[in-house]
Amino acid sequence: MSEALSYALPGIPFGCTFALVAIGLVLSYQSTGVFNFAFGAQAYVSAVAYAVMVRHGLGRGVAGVLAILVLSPLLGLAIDRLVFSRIPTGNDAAKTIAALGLMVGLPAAVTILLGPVQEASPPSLLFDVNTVVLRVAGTPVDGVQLATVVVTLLVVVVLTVTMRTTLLGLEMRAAVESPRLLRLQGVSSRRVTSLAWMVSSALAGLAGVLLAPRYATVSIDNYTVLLVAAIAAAAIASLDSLGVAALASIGIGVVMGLTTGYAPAGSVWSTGLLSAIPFFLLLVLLAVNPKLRRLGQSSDPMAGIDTPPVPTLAPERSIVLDRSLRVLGPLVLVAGIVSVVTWVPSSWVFVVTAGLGLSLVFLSITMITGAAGQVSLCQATFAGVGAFTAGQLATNFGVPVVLAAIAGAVVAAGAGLVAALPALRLRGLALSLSTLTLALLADAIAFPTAWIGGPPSGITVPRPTLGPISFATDSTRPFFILVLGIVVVAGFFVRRLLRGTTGRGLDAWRQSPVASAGLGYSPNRTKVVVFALSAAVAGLGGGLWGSLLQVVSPADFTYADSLLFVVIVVTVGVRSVAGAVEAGVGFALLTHLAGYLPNRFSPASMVALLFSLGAFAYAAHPEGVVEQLRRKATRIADTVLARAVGPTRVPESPEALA
Amino acid sequence: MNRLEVLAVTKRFGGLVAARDVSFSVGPGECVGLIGPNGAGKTTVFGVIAGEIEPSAGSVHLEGRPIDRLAAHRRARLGVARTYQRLEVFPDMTVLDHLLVAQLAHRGSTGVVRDLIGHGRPTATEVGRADEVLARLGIEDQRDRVVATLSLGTCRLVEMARALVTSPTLLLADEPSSGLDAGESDAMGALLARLRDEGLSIVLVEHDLELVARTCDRAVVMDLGQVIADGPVATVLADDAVHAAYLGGRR
Repeated sequence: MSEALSYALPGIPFGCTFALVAIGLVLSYQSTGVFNFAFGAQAYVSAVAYAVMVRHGLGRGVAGVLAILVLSPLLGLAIDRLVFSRIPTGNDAAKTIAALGLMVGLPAAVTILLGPVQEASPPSLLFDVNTVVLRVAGTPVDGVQLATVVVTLLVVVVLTVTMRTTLLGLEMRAAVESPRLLRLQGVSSRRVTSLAWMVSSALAGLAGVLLAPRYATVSIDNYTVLLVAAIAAAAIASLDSLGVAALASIGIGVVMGLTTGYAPAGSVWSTGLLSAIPFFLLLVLLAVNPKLRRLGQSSDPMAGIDTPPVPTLAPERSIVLDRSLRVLGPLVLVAGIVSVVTWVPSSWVFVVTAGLGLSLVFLSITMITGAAGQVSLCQATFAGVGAFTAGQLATNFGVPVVLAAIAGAVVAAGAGLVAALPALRLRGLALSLSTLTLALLADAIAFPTAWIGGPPSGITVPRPTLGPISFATDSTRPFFILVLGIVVVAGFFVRRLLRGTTGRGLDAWRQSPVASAGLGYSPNRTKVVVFALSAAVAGLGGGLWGSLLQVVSPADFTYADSLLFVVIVVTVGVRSVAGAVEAGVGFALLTHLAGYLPNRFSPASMVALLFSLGAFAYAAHPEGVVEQLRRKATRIADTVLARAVGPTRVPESPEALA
Repeated sequence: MNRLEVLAVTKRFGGLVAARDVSFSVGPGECVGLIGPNGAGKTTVFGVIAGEIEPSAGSVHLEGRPIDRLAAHRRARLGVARTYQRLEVFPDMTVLDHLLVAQLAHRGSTGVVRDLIGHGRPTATEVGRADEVLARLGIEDQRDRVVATLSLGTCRLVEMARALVTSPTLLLADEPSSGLDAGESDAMGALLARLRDEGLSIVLVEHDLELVARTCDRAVVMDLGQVIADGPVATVLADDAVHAAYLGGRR
């Protein structure tokens, strides 16, 4: 018994650490209607600010107040005004995508500002991390742990009272339900929402500053780990009750403490299973809790009054421009391909080929997010399944790589079916969370297992040989041609799907699930088909990507990659096959180009920040910011031409759009 | 044989009984008005017939066969079409697209294969059929407009066109005249009457009793989840109990 107690007790302060984050998730969902994936990133920003201020000699108290009560609320205000206030109430996919954009963009911005060196852990704001303040049943409790427990309790009580009993709390909840109705009552919903963002951001700041001393350095990874565990606790509370969220966090902490104590140490399964406990919990909860299943299905009675964004129609252009673009576009494309095949330096050929492989993974996002309107957060996982299957078959069973890659796509499709099963009853935010959970489970348990992800050093995926042709030569050029061919074929068939019955059915389902079932579209079939097919495409992309790199390891296909991928594709254009290819090649080229910058500019972060900015505009431009810019450019060119040639216009053929 | 049989359908939502022991039938080419005050359970009964709501007890038969185990989309493919009280359109699609999407759904279930071999797109016949229905409802000039830009009344007509384009055998029309002006409402009534004469079975939920009187052969009156009258429209509307429930006890 005392043994159990000694395992369980340290779990309490541990649970409290993510209790603060869980409370933050519930609070921001209750008061802003956004499931704030960026909460950990916000906490990270204020922790960095606190650490920097203290390092420059500011007192801990002053630095803490500045970070938590000044900087964090300002950040919250900026997030609200610049990003979320521009998204209409009902557009949940846009909210999720914008939050993901922040999750990617905020740490990138910090790295760009402060340079790539991680800030050393700051001293604790309240108590010292090295002093043992008291002992409970023989277990030492240090200063940070005590501070965390006390602050968590205080925050729960104060916020619960505010949200449940004060007018402000009522107004915040009303602003989430229907800002328009609240405005009709004479309350500025804008001000209420901004205030809510400032409060929840301050809470993120508090969590960030309090928890920073627990780790060796202030790193975004630690906050992301906390966020992920907190999501499960927030789900237990149905994103509804702050107190339950806190208790659930502590409960999870205790269970994890007990598991650490009793599980045989060292094996992949014990460490993997331990960190996976919250994810299993979340998956079960999403399946059984009807309240969670309905998450993010807005029921604003006044939603119909907000005019939907004007749909993006095919831009009209003059005959002259139309003809010249029709000739120029393919010409540029052919010139580009010929260049890559002939004179472009080998390192660049590698980059373009990598981009093409990536574009297959992006194509899978086009199918789910673009056509079905669902944000799946496990597409990199599907790519990983494809790559590892190809690697295992080729290395251990001598299967030719091309066949192995195809088998990888098939296995990935199977994984897609498995992913679709819990998702059958879900859509919107709940579906995003369930796919994120699957990605996390794969990261924690499946991929580190040797017979799946190979040894820690990675698994070999050889370059293919087709009959007499070997693609394994020193130059990547032949392999480039092979990948290009596969992308063209896959793109061709995906385009047929998206423009055919499947695509139209998905389009209908995205816009009105009720009416699409009423017309004869099976909602389950729709979901299963789109998940399986998109997973297959992603798996094929993963296999090719692996064959290009020749060695892949679990680190190449993490959940964080899935998040980044969604942000990238949405920015470039998630509604078209061409958009996916442009996103893949563009991202690879940009990343490579940025690599020429000196390291102090943090090139990778710059690229990430650039793409995350596009995610904020998803609500206004669901066709993608890059696509939007292109249409604008077309229009300008058209105006210029019309002045010169005359106003003969033809509508752009709908073919050119999809 | 009746086209639709609703047999002793009961639906409880927790403690609330939204429909209690509701039974009625609709023959081929018959238009039945389902009327009653707000909250009487009409839309619940619609949901049960369409397969969106699972009844707590009772059964629904189509052409003499029970369809209780079929999901909404299966019933749609058997020829049950409906319009919605709260508009359910696809805002980003054009009017024509609505009608094409509806027809594609009725092609059967091998959509993916058909798409991959390049036969997934609407045929000229299907576009022609869509144009025919649009012309019939008098909205052919809106054909290429995006639905988000249309007025509520036109959206109702788009919903109706989408329901009719697949030539259903049973139409469930949930307040089709709400949001229409007097002229449009008259046109809607005339259209329903013609469809009925062509053999379509219609269940019409409607608050506009004049419209019901003009288009329906029979009326089923519900109040507090129960059927309180069922018979020829004129007889039912003259019934005292109906007046008490619906019109507030006048007379």
